[in-house]
Amino acid sequence: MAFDIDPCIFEFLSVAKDLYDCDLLDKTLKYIGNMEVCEDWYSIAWEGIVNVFKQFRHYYKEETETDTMVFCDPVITGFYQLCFFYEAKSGISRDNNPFRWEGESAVYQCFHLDAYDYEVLLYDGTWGRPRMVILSGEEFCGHQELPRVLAEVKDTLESYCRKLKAAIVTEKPVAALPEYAEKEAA
Amino acid sequence: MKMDLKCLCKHLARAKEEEAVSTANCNPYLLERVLRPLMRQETVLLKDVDFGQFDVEDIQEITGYYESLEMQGRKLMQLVGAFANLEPVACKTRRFC
Repeated sequence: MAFDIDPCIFEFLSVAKDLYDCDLLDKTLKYIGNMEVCEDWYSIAWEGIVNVFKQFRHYYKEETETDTMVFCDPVITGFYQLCFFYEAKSGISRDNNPFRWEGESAVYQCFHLDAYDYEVLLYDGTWGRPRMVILSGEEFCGHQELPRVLAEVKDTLESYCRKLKAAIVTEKPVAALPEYAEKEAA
Repeated sequence: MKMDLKCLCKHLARAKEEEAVSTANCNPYLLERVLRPLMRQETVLLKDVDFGQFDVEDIQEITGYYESLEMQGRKLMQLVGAFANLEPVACKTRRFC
């Protein structure tokens, strides 16, 4: 028996288990093929990050050692399209659309990473495509948690899309959420 | 350091065979299908692991088990090293004719 197993193997298993629980493992295996259980958790985490949303772009700025990850997906686009539609239909401003900022807050709350030196930004498509951007510095070390968190973000946005669709159909916008109406009146 | 090999053999013969670290809290699938093959330096392919057989907490448990086992292994290796470095000493009295 060997007692020289790299502890990163357990990290690898945790990341793979997260991918499995988020239904991402099969998709990831298509890209990484016959990968061994090994200490390289970063590769599998990265494949997970790449495969949660439909489109992914990554940029690295060498001078500042900053990573920029850009995610585009029909669910992000759909969420903002429904927000715009709801705002137009109910005649409220985007700042007073509860679904918009509750949905965005729920997304930001998904990022309860055991890491720092990062920032998450959501863009509604006023400029460019609707997208989510993660900026991370050299001290960011939360990559192993990102696939799970991104899957949570996707679920959250899907849930808010359903809520928005229901609200648009029933046409009960501001009245259902009195606290926002009060704020608006004030 | 002095070591009476005869005495050591006697104690070892009397000792009960038991696990150095308890596997009671370990997930049997992770233990038998993942950890032990890895410890035997066998290849475990990711696609062959059934992730439905264990929870995230089981991975933490098996990590703790391995760390304890590793610590025991290190202590044992230290003891083996100490034994290996012992200089043999001749008996003071005659043992045979």
